[in-house]
Amino acid sequence: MDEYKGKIRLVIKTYPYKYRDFAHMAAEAALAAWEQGRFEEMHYTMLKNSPRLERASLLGYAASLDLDMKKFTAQLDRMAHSEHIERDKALAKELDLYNTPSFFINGRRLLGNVPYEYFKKVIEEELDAINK
Amino acid sequence: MIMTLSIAKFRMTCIYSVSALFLLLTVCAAASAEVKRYTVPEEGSPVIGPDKADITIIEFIDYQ
Repeated sequence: MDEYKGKIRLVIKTYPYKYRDFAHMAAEAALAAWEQGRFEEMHYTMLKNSPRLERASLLGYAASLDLDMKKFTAQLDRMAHSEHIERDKALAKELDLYNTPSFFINGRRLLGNVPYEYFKKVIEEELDAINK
Repeated sequence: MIMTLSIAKFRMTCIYSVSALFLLLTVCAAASAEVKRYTVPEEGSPVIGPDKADITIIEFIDYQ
């Protein structure tokens, strides 16, 4: 997606699958990092290292990003962002989403792991429509 | 004479009807070709990238 840098605003909604052990905790970790202004770094670190997302790994990623560990650990352990995550999950259900990742590109829905070429085609169409 | 006129009238009516139907179908086809866009509330979520951009992608993600 680097080729579109500056043209894309990416909004993240958390939609952890309930039967995956670390999915909820990983979403908590992302939001805890967000609160410390380091969402982007944590987001990409977790994507790169997935599925190594158990507690010790998450703490390691947070430490490597120089986060305030006391605050981060406390938020992770008491699942401080559960309300936020539940809100996102409710929205996903409302939108009839059952797959991740799911995308809305300027409102156009792309479900599941769509081929990159298709993803790119939609982005190009949107850019063309704006530049017309 | 009268007979010929009514046949001509009937023919014209048929032509108009068929044309109207064709136009209606064309409009319907164009409307269904239009892409569907969903409105997804952002409601205070993490954002990567500039505050204003040509494209907004909302991604529902599971990190695991």
